[in-house]
Amino acid sequence: MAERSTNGTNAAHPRLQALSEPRTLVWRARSPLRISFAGGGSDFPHLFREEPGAVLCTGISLYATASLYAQSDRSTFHAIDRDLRADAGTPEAARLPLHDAAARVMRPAPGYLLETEVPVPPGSGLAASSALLAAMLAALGAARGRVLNPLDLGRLTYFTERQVAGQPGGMQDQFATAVGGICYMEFGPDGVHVSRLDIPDTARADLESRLLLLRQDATTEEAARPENHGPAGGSQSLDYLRALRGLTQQMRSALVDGRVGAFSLLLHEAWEMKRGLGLGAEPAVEAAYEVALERGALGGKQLGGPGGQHLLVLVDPSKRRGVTDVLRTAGWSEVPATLSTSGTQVWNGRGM
Amino acid sequence: MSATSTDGDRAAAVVLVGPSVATSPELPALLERTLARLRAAVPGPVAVLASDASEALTRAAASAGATVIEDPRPPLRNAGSLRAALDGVEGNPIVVVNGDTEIDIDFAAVLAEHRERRGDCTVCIAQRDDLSGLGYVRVGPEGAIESFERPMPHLPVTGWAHAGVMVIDRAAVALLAPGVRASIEEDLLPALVVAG
Repeated sequence: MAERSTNGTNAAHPRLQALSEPRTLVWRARSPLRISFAGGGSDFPHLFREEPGAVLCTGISLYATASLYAQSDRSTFHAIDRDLRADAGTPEAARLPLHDAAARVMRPAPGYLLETEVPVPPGSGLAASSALLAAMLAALGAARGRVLNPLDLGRLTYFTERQVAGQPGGMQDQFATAVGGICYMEFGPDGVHVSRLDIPDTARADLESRLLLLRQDATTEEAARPENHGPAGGSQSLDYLRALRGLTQQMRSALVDGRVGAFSLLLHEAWEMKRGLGLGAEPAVEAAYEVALERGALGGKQLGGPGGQHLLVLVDPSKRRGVTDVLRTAGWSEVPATLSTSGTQVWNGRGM
Repeated sequence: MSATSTDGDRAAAVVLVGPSVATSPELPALLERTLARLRAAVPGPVAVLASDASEALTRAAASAGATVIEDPRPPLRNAGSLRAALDGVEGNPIVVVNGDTEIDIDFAAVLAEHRERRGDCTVCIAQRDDLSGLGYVRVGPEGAIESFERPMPHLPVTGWAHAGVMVIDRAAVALLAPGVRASIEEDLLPALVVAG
């Protein structure tokens, strides 16, 4: 047991020690991961310039966090979840390309530690990369006195992830994490329009009560995911995207009207449509979804496309246990998650 | 925001000739005039970045002592093309002129202004009576650009628009990863404004 000092405080107590650490927390930011309900693929610029797209998605209560500390001697990145460190502006920074890109874009004053934590592994299908980047940009921006509104942060996150770091993908993730909540986005030649849906509180509660997020347990080696360049162009793709947009709009209307059951069924219709076009989920995911349907689920979605590790299922709360018990034996774990109502948040750490 | 160019760096110039301009019959004469003005104002190399290096374009460039760089395939849009051409254009900063710009701007003065302000990019803007189909530039006090807005019905009919001339530091262009598709007006400049 630690001894008390003469002034009556327990100066050696671990909690007090943590407050007297030499590094100074300057800014901290967190960004929600997201579930995409429908429309993924229609948010790729090479497609929506020809055929307008629409996406419906929601932030969830899993967050990427970025903490910016002042340190005198060097500028460093530290990805806690990956146990990787690198000095900024050196060749080794290429091991943390998103950190490197964020620093190149925001140009923080020298002498910092940018430390991050992401609650899911890469390739999760929950847009963790975009959430991580948005959090970093928000923290770095705050350190330079720049308060980025959600749309500007979304645009900057897209620019940094896709055009600076050069990582292929669409546009929904960056706006989803910056804006937060349940978002409906439209993509077209005149740009991106993002709106947070104002759905009835009871519908939100209903949706949340049915939402079941499942993760495939890790295998011995994760297969490399193909780069996400989105659907190829061509008339068949455009027909699919047109149909997908229609379905996404119907799902949006169902949510706004508070018809969560109808929403769930439309989610299943989207699954069937993709399967019918040969764009179905991987066998293990299809099998899990079939099991969920047999036990009362109304709809679902593989998150992140081929190789995505997460499965979203909408199931009545009374049948939830039946689904999770069976899928647990098949190597699926439930991921506790609720709907998040906030987008990226940043706060000053000096008051701690 | 600190500048990356110094007074000792030799500025370069690039004229962007996109697909819609490349086939214009007025292009060769316009290009010759633009290149001559750039030659007089810019101490370093001058290049033409073209989606289609036609014979007429090549002749016009050669007569002004400018090199021609063809856009990569598939097209990368103007910022992506500029990034791809960076290795072939020595000099900093870079005066970038749209090939169809006829606006009467003193390039040397713009270059001097850019160096004095020590920013990443200096954009020339012009008042337009009709912004239909054009992006709209919001300008704050002291001439700082606050945002680039896409053409949209609710925006003012008259206002400031990009005049097709800018000066940009190499480092700002080099932010882009090689091979990405990106637009100067829709992607690069708005990001530089937001990032500060």
